[in-house]
Amino acid sequence: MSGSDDIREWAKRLGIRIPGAEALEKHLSGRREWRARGVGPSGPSSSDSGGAPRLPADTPAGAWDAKIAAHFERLAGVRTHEQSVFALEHGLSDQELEVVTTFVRSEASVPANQRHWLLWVVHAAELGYDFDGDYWPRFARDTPGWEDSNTSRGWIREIFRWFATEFGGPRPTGAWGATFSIIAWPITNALLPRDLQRHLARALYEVQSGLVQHLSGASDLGQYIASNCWIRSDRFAQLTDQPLLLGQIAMALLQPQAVGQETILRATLDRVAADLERERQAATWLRSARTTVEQSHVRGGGRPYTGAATLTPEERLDAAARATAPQLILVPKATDGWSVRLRLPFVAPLLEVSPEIRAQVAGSRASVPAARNRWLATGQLLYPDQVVDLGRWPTEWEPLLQFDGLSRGLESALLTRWAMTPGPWLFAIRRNGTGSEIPSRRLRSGGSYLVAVREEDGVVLSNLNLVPLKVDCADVLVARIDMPDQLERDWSEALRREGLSPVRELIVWPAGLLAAEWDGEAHIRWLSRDPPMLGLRANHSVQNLLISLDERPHEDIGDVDATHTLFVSLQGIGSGEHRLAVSYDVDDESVIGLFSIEISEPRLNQDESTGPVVVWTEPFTRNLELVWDGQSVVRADGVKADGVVCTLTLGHGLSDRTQKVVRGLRLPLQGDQWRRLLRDSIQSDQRIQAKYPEAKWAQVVLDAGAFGTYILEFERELPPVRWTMEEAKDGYQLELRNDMEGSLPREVWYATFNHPDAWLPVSFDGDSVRILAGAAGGLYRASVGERGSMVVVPPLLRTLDSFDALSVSPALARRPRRSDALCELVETTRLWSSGRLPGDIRAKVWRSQIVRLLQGDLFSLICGGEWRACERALERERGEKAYRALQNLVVRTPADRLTVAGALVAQWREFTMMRNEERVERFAALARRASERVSVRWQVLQRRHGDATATWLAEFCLRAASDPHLDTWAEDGLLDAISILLDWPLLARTARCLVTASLAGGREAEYPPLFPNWEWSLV
Amino acid sequence: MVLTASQAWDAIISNVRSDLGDVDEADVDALIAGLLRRAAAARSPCTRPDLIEALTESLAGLAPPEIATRENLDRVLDDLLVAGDLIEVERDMGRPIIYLGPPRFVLRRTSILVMGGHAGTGLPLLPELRARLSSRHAQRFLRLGTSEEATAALETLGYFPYPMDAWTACPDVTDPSELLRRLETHLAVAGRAGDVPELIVLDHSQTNRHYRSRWKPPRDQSGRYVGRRPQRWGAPLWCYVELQDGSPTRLVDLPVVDRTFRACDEAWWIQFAIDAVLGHPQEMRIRDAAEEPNTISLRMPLPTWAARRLLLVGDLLPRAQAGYLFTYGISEREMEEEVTFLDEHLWCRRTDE
Repeated sequence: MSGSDDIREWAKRLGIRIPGAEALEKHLSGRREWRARGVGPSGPSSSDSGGAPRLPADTPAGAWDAKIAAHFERLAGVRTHEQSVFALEHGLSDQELEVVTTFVRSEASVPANQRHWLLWVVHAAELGYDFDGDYWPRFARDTPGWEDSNTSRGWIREIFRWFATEFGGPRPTGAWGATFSIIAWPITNALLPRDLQRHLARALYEVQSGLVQHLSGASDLGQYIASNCWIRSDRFAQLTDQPLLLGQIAMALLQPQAVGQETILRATLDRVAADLERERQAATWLRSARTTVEQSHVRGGGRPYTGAATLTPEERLDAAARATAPQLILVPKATDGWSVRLRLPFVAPLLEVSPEIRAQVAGSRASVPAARNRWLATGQLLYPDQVVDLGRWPTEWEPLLQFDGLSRGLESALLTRWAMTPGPWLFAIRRNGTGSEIPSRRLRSGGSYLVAVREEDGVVLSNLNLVPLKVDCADVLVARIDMPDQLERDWSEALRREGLSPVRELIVWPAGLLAAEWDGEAHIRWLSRDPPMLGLRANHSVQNLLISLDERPHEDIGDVDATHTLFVSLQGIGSGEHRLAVSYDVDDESVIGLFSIEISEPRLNQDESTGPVVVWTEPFTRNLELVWDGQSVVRADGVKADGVVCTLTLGHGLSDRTQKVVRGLRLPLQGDQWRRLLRDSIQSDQRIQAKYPEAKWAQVVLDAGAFGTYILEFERELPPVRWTMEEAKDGYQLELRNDMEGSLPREVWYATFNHPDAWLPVSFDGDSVRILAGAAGGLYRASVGERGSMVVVPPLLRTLDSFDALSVSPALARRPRRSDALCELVETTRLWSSGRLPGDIRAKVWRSQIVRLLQGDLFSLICGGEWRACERALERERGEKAYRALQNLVVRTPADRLTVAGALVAQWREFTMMRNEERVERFAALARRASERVSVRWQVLQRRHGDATATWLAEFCLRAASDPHLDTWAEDGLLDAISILLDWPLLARTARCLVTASLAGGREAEYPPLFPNWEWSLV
Repeated sequence: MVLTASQAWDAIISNVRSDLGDVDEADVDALIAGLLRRAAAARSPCTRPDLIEALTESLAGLAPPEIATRENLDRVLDDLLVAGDLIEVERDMGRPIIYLGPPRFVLRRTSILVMGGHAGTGLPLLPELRARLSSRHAQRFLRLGTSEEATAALETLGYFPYPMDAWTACPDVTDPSELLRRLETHLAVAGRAGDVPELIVLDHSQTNRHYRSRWKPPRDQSGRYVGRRPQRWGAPLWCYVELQDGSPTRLVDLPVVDRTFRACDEAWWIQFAIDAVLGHPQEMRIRDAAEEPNTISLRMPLPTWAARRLLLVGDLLPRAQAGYLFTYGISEREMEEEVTFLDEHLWCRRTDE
């Protein structure tokens, strides 16, 4: 059956009168054309196998439908395959749009097949343009009579598919498009919804210095922006997942005059620009970016940039890793000989690659394996110009510096640049007497150098008749080379044989404005704004001097007399890496020197990186709720400063905002200090509490006086299934928002604060869940498809008349000491700890109590009532005596002290300071014993984890004792691992004993974390 | 393109001047400040000697010899620290580090002093701001249209107002002898100085009129002096030293009185006190001009806190009055207040023309 037969048949079934054969053919040929261009559906699908029905044009609505169709067809006709037609480009005036909306409303309750779908596309896209997080409630409000059901929502997606097929409309891509599989269509068709406009303007502002080199294609431009901008919003991240779309919009905003209707309809572009102008800052950002583009065109004078490249995030990371690589230096000792030091990387350039990398690197602890004192303090690399003494020469490819807790990709990217290279190693002796490494191993006439070889390669030195110097470092020999002005051929060849490269006659250096990097020999990096320039000086006459750039002749200079100095401008070469060759003839010998030249963009103009302070969230998040909850903390380091002012702003729209100012902070700002600040000075403010539930975004500003002002931004996460909560007269009104396609709420449960593990069902009608929460409050949870959503509802108390109002006395149900019952307890703990918090501080405090209680109950059941009593005593007294009582339940006899468990608990002080990786490593010694004590269960685990079983079980034990998200981490291993703890409680006791050590002498702290210094990655 | 040294230099000047706005071509300090800002944008954070050394090498053979000397770069770098374009961060261990200053501005009576920002990032100012930009010495100013309009535009571009309490922070008014007594307590607990190679001191035995020529190696003096002593890494350290017949007996490195200020600031503050206590306080020469702005001229560098205060109300003039280290133009209505400030905080003696 042909396509037209398909449609006729389909239309006949639905009773739709189809357009004339000619019109139909036209539509189909258009569709075929789009498919041929690669923008249509990639293949037949149930949704796309049908076509777009068109109702007759002989009604007013039909006439509008036809008019709009003709308009979109015109647009489609001038667009290339890179240029979508957006539904927002309907070209209607406000009055016309009002008419269309009226028609849509009039069709709201008629069957879908009797609606003018194109009018609905326009209507839905308009609502997408105003999207602020809740699409369907707004849609229902603006379309009275329309029934919000899965079928109705599905039809909306269907009409956008028709739109994409007929007119080349955009199709949502990326993870967001897959998750929000329906609303992604109208929102993508809204071109640049209002909530993204500010983000895009700022992104253009931040990356403006490189924009001009990427204006030749929308895809390239979008890729450049996506790769270089600093993403502060998950919604904006979704746009950067679609580089073509991003590039199209950016192109139109940057060069509105140069862009014709073939990119974006002028009226639509003007509308977006006008909306952008409404917010002063966004307008300024956009104007600044436009100015840069315009001025760059003027400065460039039409000369094409060469070699411009969009660096991928990986390439930017690699460049930053190279720029920050640790360097070996040799330092003369005051008395005699040399010491070996490692100049530590100052990691700020690395932190500018992305917020995620910033959080990972800034918050992790680093070590120098070859140093006398291996471990560096957390945050130490945020301070420049630091060196550490090396006790031994690093082995080949050994990491010069390591981080704990980096993602594997980041770690391997750094190690590529931060590992020890093979020898021999050459060091130039600088003016201050230190030797700095020359990776190219090139020696200039008249220069003074040190050559280093491994102890076992001492023959290299003897071959060169060099005498080893005294070095205060194991495994290395160092000798000095003073290069003569005239290099003898034999000596030159001897050097070459040993892997060194003597250079004669011509000296080349970066001249003029200071280059950002110059290794003294072969690598130069300039900022793109500075004119790159080389200086050349010949020690002897040279002939046929030629400079080539990227294997093309750049300057043919010819003969140069001795001692003559000249300068060569390299202006006009684009951002990216280039190869420069300087070749010449001297004494009938041809010589060539190779240089790597890099042109990089200046630092981004980011609110987070304006001065010497480094601010970040740990672990990284943009999610307001995680920061409010304390699961992610704000940290600052880099300088020591007093009198820092912190301002937290909660906002709903552009003008609706509430602020809290806290003065007198001190930098560095550690995680626990931030949590105290948040709890005691910010969340305690009733205005902030009241504003929080409706806040869409938050901003944290740290004003460090002379050291600058730093801004972090957060936004409310909008998962596809989420609760909204509104305080009403008679209680909290809860509504479940569901953007999941085809999934209905399966069940809704709640538990009160007083009985947190007694789940009671909540009844609801039909597809939607709208309920009035009980006055006692508690945790409400719903599941839709595979997703769930939890919200903590505060009790309905208007005032805090007494301390009683701030306390709760939860009681847990009795449960058997059985693994399945304990798994339920673990799940309940996680549900409470993951519940979304309202602004009311009581909800947070009570939730904290309940999570602790549930966790305590788990260990009470595993370890026994005596254990629980001792833990309670420790919680109350927080002294060493109480802790010893707990310890005695692990190590009951002197003989127990000689066991692995005994040895572990003896290290309790050390354990409180260790990193989690190290804790797991040590605890694995005990976990391994489980293979003998509970062999059957062990084998089950071993089938899953193989050689890593002991490590996995060790982490499980420590997490069980300290991480309320245990079941998320353990996944399907939970039941078996809990069974092991029940069968051999010593594992649980030892783990819990080590974890609770952090309470001995510590202050009472609010959850999270459950225990001080026991923070696990969010899983 | 192959360039001669002078062609290359012209290209560099032209590029740097694009950051400066309106600038007097003869204002060499403004040009050096531009070079240093660019250098700091490329290399910072780094130590001061590293920055100056690298820029000197990069300009070798290009810049006229009288311009890019280490001494000039060092001097103008100090001015950039005063102006807030660069900041120097002292550390418990290790050398102080130079950073490019964050984008800030200070509202003055007729203009805005801007720092950091576009000079570092290379981002162009908006045309309406660019048209108002000018440079004098190490400072860049925006002439005010209306202050609200200009400051709002700056704030949207990420420039924040410099906190005035930080800009105007200065030590409490104190008696010069009290300041020296506090130093005495520090000196009293300092160990024996031993040999201090290449020590130089600010001599006060003869005249206090020529700052640069006052720096001398100790010969046979006895007493307490502001000094500088070289260190293996980095710029010479500022110190307060007791000499006995030209030999150092006790020594403390500065700052010791107030660690919120730089070592050189404390050293100059101390020298003002020494001169005052010895009965020949530093002179502030006031010129009451009919048409030009009134001026204050001084012969000693001012601590940053004093220089920043004068920058709020006055302008550092391109040329100092003959015989003085620098001259500020200050409006008549501000003059008395500033004179009182210099008298109270630095014990200067007023002389009028």
